[in-house]
Amino acid sequence: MDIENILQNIDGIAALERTLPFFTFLSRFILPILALVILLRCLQSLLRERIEPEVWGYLSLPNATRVALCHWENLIGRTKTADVSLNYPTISRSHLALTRDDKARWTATDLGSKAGVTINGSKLNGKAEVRKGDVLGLGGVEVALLDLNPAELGAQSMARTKPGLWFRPSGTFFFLTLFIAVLAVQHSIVNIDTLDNFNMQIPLGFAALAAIMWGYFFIVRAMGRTGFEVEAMAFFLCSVSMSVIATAAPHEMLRTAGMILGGVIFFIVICFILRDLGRAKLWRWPIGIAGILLLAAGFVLAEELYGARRWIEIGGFRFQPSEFVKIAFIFVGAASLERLFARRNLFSFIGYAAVCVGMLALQPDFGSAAVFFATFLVIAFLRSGDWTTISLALASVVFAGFLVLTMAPHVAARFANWGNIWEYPNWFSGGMQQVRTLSSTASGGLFGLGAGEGVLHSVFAADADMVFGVVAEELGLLIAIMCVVIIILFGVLAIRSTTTARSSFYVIAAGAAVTMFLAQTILNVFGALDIIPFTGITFPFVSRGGSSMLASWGMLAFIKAADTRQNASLAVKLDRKAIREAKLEEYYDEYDDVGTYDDIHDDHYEEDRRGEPLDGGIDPLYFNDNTQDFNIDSSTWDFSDGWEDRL
Amino acid sequence: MKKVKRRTYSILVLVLTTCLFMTVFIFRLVADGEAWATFPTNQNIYRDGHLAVGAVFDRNGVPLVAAGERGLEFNQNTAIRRATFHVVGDRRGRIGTSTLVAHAGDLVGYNFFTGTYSLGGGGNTIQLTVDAELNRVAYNALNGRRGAVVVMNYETGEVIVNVSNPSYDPVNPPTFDLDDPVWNGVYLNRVISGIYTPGSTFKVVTAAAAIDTFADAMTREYICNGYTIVAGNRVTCLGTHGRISMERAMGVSCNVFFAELALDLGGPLLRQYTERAGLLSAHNVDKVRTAPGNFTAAEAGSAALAWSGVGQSENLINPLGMARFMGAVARGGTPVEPRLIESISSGILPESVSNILPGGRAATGNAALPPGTAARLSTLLRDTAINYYGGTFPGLAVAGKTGTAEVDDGRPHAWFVGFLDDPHNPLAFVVIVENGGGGLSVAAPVANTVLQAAVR
Repeated sequence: MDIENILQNIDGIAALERTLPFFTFLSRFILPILALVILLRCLQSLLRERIEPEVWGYLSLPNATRVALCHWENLIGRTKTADVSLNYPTISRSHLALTRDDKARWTATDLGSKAGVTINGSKLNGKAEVRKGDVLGLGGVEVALLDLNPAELGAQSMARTKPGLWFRPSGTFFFLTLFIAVLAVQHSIVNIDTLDNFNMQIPLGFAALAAIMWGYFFIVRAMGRTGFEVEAMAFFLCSVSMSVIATAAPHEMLRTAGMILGGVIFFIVICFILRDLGRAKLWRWPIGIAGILLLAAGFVLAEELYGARRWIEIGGFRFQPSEFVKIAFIFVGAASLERLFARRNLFSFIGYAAVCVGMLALQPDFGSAAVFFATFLVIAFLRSGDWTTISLALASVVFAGFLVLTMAPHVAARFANWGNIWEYPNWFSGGMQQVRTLSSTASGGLFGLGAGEGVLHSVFAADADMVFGVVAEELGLLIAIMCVVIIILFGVLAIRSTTTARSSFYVIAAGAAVTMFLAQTILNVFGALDIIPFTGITFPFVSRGGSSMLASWGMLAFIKAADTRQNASLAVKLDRKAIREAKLEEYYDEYDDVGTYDDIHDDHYEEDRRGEPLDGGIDPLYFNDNTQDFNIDSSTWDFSDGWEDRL
Repeated sequence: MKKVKRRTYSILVLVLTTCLFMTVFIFRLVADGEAWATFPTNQNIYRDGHLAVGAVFDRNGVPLVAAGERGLEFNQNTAIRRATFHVVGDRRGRIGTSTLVAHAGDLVGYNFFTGTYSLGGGGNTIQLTVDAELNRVAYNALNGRRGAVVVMNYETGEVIVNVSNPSYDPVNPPTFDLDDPVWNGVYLNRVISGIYTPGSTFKVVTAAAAIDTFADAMTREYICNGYTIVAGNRVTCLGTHGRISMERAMGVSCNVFFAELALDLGGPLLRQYTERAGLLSAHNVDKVRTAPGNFTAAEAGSAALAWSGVGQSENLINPLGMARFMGAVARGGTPVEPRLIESISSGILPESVSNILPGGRAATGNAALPPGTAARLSTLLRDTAINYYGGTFPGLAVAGKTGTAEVDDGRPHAWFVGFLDDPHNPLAFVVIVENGGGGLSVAAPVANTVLQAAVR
């Protein structure tokens, strides 16, 4: 190739090669520092933003107080964990679900209460629409629904803090670009060492990744969104993945960049599906059935490769059905609040899960089966809250696992090896993968041997199953641990965002997605490090593999959809109309003595400066959403006074 | 929603599991990282199972082994290769205490923070305390007989001779049957890992206990009739020495005298002195540990107690442990800890070497004897050498004791242990020739050859 001839004839090449030890020495310290900066910016941005609830309406109670409805789905009943807890003896523990849809229509669903529900005096059978001002009777206790009009919702939107206030996302992306650039230069110099096959894909692949990242940034910015923490962390993992591939398979750099582009598009598509809750719920079963069919197709079409029928090849593109079924599994598992109280719905999901896990176990792909089963447990618990069912399911699978162990020699060997890898490690009966991973991890130290300068990548499937070892060896233990920390952060973020989630559909979906991520990470990382038995499973975003990359981005959309900070998420609709109307109101308000939105803003920051959170706390895990407290606090939101008159 | 929200905390189980596993892993990495990194399948530092980085030199800078393009390259001289075989190690890593195995991590330059990274990629250089040329002299002096020779500087702790035989040339390994008694223990560095019946050399310990315990130890007398009856058993002596006291008993190595002393001292007290002498514990020599010895405190008045006082019975002693004790006697009772690594250099940062205190002083162990006792014992041993081994060590201020240890299989082991009472050459030494015969006739000449070369 011409370019190689040119490169060969440049006198500077030899000089460049001599700079390798020096550049490696520098990059070993620059990369972890950049990684730490990126991670801390994302982390601080996520944790410093307050969790501000959204108010969608009020219930006025018989004792003349008002309770804010902070979700689209609200449980009303006697139990303390109800969103509106009414302690009257005639009210059932879970009496009524009051749900709102995208079109601001409210629906009341009787959850099989003893005393029944009336709407404006007439008995409610099953469910019915509720309008503003309607009086709901719950066992004789009467409450009225007070809705917010678009202008008020818009005012609320404007008053809420937008992300990116403290840490500008463009800054984070700038550091990410530096990170990618250092990797690109380092890998290129290492590759020039073997000039006869210098691979232009290395610099081009990294450049493509940076281009995809900035392209995504500008498009989403143009759509008015300012929250990028989750995506920045995913792009960080992708750049680590590109580094692994630059060493292990440099000829696949551009293909991988293409997969990342595909993943980002997939992410955007799922975000759009999730924007509209009605649509998302409608698509649940078609997507679910497509998932099952895909898995079943695996049995017919898949060729046996490395002892399992995991891959389907269509038109030169090989993919792993189980990766895509993860998305379907989450769709089917998620459910909105009013459906959670019907057992029938849970049973249909249990049936679906049993089919998925069963088919995966038969492939045999025990790693994926374990990930799906863990996700099943979490979804089942989120839906039912029932420890008995969960323990029963767990017990039965432990029993089934025991049967598998006694019958499948391949799996039994994996277990027999676990913890004894140093005795007789070899490639056939196992142990060598873990031995090599541990040797390489220890060799790398905290800062690594330098990108492209490890040896573990030459081991079969090291860039997928033992990717933690490759990262630790070349980029160092610090960066490898940061990759795991990011997955943990996804989990913390999902738990934290449930406080203000609009629908349990989003809560369950986000919970399921992070469970997939965490379970995969645990099996991948700690299997390779001989802390648990070794299974071939991918590390989300980092392991080489197109299907895995696409599915990881797809699952990220569910986490993104739970992020209800103002203007944070593509997966959450921006109600521009409401904001427009609010601005009109603001104009007229100048003639009223009602506080303007600027006042609201000021109050907001005054509270902030005093360090007294408005809404009960900024601690991610201990956000206190006690309705009563919130109610008191919300009265300090000055604008509520003006609203009451208008209602 | 509040209900569902509370349930999401269940996901924390997975988060905590991840954190827990990561913590376990990091603890394991801190504890075992060096062993993982230096496992021979790690291609960062091994090629075809041979260490690909690092170099080992002797105290004078003579190259012993270095990793090169074609694997490990050893010293050019066959005799030096054989003489340093156990200290340096072989290509297959068969000798666990050798530098190539025990110090693989140091050669690689492994540490928790930077792993196996080194700026030039060449690893570290280790300088040993041994003198390759003196090792060759000692190896030749053994003349093919199985045994061990150790010479150590008792002021600095440097082990300058460490020879163990059988040995072979690591460049041309012979083919042999491991069960063949000729090759018995070929992969064992006898100086570090061997334990032997001490025979009469143990009388030094018995004497030390007596001098420290009995005010009249030097004048106390026993009658030697060539044997004595203890609890109905015969404890024999090689001669019939008649009325005998400490000085002559040490010189002629009278069994009856020391058996009677042991009976008077009692098993527990004798054991206590053996322990204080450091002969029953394992000593850290850089990253390897010496084999601990054994002394069973026999019942009062028993034949076993009598025999243990003359170094028979169940006594077992490690050669380096004995050399360390001899050093203690020479320098007023406090032993210096032995070491085999002079320095480790990575080119960037100096590496720490064990058994050296800050400021370069040698680390010392617990006192084996009070200074007064050590001085009297030292004089006793010096007089013994002058009066009884005269002519064996021309020109050397040797203080020492022979030993002829009866063993179950074949001829007795020949021992010679001692030190040079010479501030310019503060050397403690131990020579053992397995099944060699008499200590004075077999082991002492070997010691003389090595010491003559060492003081030159």
